[in-house]
Amino acid sequence: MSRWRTILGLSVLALLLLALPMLMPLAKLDITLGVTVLLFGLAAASVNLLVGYTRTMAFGNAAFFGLGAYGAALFVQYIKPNFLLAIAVGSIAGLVGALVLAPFLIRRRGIYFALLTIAFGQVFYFIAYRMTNITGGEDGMTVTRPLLRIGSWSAGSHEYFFYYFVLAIFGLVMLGLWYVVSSPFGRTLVAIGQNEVRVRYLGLNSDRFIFGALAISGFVAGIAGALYAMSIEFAYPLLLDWHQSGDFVMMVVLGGSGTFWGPLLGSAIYVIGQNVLSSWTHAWQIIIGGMFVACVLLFPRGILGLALRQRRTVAVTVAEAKTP
Amino acid sequence: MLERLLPELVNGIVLGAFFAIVAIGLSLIMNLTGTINMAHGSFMTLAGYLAFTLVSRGTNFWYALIIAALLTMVVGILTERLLVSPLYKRLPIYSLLLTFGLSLIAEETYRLIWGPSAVPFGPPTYLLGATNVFGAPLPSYRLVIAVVLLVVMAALVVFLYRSRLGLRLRAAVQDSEMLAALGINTQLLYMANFAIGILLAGVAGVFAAGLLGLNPNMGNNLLMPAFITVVIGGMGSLTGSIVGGLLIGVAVSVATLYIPVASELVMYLMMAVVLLIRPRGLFGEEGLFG
Amino acid sequence: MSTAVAGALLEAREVSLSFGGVKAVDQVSLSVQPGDLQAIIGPNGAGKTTLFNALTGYFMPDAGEVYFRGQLITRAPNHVRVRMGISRTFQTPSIFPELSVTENLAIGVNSQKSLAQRFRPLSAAQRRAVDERIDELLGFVNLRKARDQIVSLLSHGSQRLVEIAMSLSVSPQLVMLDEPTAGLAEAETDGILSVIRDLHTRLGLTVLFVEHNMRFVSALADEVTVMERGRVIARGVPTSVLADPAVRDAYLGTEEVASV
Repeated sequence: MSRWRTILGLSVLALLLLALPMLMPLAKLDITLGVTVLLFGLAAASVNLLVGYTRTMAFGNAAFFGLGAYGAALFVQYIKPNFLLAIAVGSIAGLVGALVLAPFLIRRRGIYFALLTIAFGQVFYFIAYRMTNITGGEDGMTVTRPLLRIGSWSAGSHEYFFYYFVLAIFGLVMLGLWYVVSSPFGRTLVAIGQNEVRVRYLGLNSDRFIFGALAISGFVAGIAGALYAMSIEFAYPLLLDWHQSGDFVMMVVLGGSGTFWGPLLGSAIYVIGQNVLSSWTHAWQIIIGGMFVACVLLFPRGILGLALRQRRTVAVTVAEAKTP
Repeated sequence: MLERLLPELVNGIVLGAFFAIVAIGLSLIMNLTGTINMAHGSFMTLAGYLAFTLVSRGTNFWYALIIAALLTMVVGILTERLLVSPLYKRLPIYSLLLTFGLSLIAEETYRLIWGPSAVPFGPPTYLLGATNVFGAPLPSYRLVIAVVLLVVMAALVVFLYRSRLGLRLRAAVQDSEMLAALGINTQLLYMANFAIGILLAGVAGVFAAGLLGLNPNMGNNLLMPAFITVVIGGMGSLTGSIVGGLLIGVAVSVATLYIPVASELVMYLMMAVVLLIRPRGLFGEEGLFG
Repeated sequence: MSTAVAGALLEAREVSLSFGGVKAVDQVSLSVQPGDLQAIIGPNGAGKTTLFNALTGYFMPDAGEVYFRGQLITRAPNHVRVRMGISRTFQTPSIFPELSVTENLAIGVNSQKSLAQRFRPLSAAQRRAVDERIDELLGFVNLRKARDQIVSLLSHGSQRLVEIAMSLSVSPQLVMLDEPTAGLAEAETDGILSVIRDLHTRLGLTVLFVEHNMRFVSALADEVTVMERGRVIARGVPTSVLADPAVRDAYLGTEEVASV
C-alpha cells in the first residue's frame, strides 16, 4: 500500500518540477524562483543530514553554501569561465570547508557543537567580507554565467535551460542522498540521532559517522552554493552569515526534520512565501519570523513530519524528552 | 610607543568589557537551560532604542539607561515565560530556532518604528571630551563605560557567590532536578536567570548604542564576538567569559595598531589556537555540555 | 606494571571514580572468570551503576586499572571495549525508540559484521545473513511476533528484552546488565530471569549484573559482590552474603533483604 503511495507521490513531484517553467508564470512568479527553491532545498537537505538524521545541531552550513558560491564565482572570474568546472570547484570548496571544521566539531555535541558551528560560520563570513580585493568585500562580486558546454554542444542561455540543468543536478544529488540514507551508513546515522550512546555500545565509533555526515553535508551545500552563484550571477558575504544558516535550519524544521523531502518542502514554503509576502508588505520579515516561532512552538515535527505521523506518534516525545 | 599603546589598551579593556558582559549574559542563559539566545543582540538593540526614545524626550542619560535596561528585562521575562520556557524539555535546536525567529521579528520591528538607518544617539555632552590618564588623553565616555561595566561584573560575581538566589542559580546549573526535588521553584529560577542575562544585555546595549551607533542591527554585531568569547573562555564558565572577553578586546585593539584591516582576524585566530590546544576553552569544564 | 590475574575475563583493580569530591566508587576490585554468573548488589547510591560505567568506558576511572582478557582497557573508549567483547544494558533501556525492533537489532548485527559503515547496499547474501541473525536473536528473547513494532510502543519488559537482544547482537563474551528487572511486574521478571539464565547456560556467556531483586540474585548468581557507599563490603555465594550482618546492616530498614 505505502509502496504505491510513494511511487505516486514521487511521480506527482517529478511532474510538478518538470512543468514548473510553465506553471510559474501562471502564478505570476519568475522561473528563477524555481531555481532558488531547488538550490535552497539542496542546502537544506545538507543541513537535514546533520540536524534531522544524526540530530547534531549544525547552525553554520551557510558557510559551506557560501564557500561553494565563492568557489564557483572566483573560478569563473579568475581562472576559467567553464560552467561545469566551476560547479565542481564549488562543491569541492564546500567539502574542504567541512573537512577543515570537522576535527574541531567531531568531539563535541549538543549546544557546544552548535556554538562551534555558529562561530566557525562567522569566520568564513569574515573572510569573504574582508578580502575585498579578491571577493569584492561587502558588495560581493558579480560574475557572468558561462554557457553550459558539454563537448561541442552548447546549451542556450535561456533561463529555461538553466532551470532544467539545475533540476537535473538536483535530481542526481537527491538520488545520491537517497542512496546514502538508505545504505547501512545512513541507517547508522539515523541510529546516532536516536541514541548515540547505544550506537557506541554496539561497537561503533559515532565520531567517524558524524565526520562522514559533515563531509557529505559540506559537499552537497557546496554544489548548491555554486549553482546559486551561477544562477544569480553574484556572490556576496551574507550567503555565509548565520542568518542564512538559520534560514536553512528553519526550512528543514518547517518541512519535517529527518524526513527525506522535508527540506525541499520547507525551501518551497520559505522561498515562495518570502517572495509573495514581500510584494504585499514591507514587514514580511516579521511574518516569516512569526512563522518560525509558530512552527517551533506548535508543530515542531514540520509538515511532512506530521503527515508521516503513523510511524512517529509516541516515539517522538519519548526521543525528544531530555529527562528519562 | 607607550603613548600609542596605552589608549589602545584602555580601548581594549572597554571593548573587552563589552564582549565580556554580553558573553556573561549568553553564558548564564546557556549554562542553566541550554538555550542559545540568538535574540540576545536584539535585546541589546531594544534597550538602545528605548534609551534613545527616553533621551529624546528629555530624560537624563543615566535614568534612561536604568529605565531602558529594566524595561528590556521585563520584555525578556515575558519572552522567557511565554515562548522560551515551553521548549526547555525539548531538544536545544528548538530554542535556538525560536530565538532566531524572534531576532528576525525584532529587527524588522525596529526598522518599522525607528527606521532602517542609524538614529542619533550619543553619550551625554559632558562625557564627550577626553580625560587624562597617566598623561594620555582617553575618551571619557569609554572610560566611564569601562568602569561601569567592570563594576556591574563585579556586582554580578558578588551576587552569584554571596546571595541565596545566586547560590540557587549556581546549584541549578549543577542539578536542577535535585533542586526541584528539594521543593525549590525551578521555573522561577529559570526566569530570574534569563532576566539577569537580559538585564546585562540591556546595560551593554545602551552603552553600545552611544559608542557604535544605533541601528536595527547593532546588537547582532556584538553577538558574534560574544559567541567567540564563550568558545574561547569556555562553556560553563563565567570566569572564562570575563577573562576571555577582556583578552579578546585587548588583543583586537592592540592588533588594530599594527594591522588595522584584519584586527578581527586576531579574534578568530585566538579561537582556533585555543580550540586546538584546549578544546573545552580556557576555563571550560569538560563534558558539561557535550 | 602488574599483569592481570591469569584467566580472568574481566578484572578491576582498586578502581576509583569521584564526582566533584564525592567518591562514587572507592577502590573497588572485582574479578570475573569466563563462564561466571556474578551479581553486584547494594543499597541505592552504593555506586553499582557508576562501577559499571567505569568498567565499560562510560566514564574513565580516576584511579585503578581495568583488564579484559588480560589487556589493559582502563582508558579505552567505550566502543573499543564493545569490540573487544563487553556488552551492556542500562537501567533505563537504551534503545532506538522510533525504529522497529528489527531495525534496532540490525544496527548491532551490521556492526558485528562490519557492515555498518557501508555506502553500498547489502548484497542478497549479506541481507539474508543479517536477517537470519536478527531472527535468531529475536527467537532467543521470544520477540519474533514483535519484529516490526516500533520499540517505544512496546511494554517496558519487552523493551528490556530488545535491549538484551541488542547487547547480544555484537557477539560479546561478557554481558553486563544494569538492573534488568527494574520496573517489571512479577511475571515479566520471571521471563527475564529465564532469558538471563539461558544467556549463561545455552550461549555460554559470562554475565555480570546489578540487581535489587534479591530473589533474582539468589536464583541466578554464583557469586555476589556487595557494595555500600562506593566500597565493597562483602563478597561470596548468595546465601552467605545475604546472611552477613554487615550486609543486613547496609540494607537496614529496606524491604529487599528482609524478603529473601
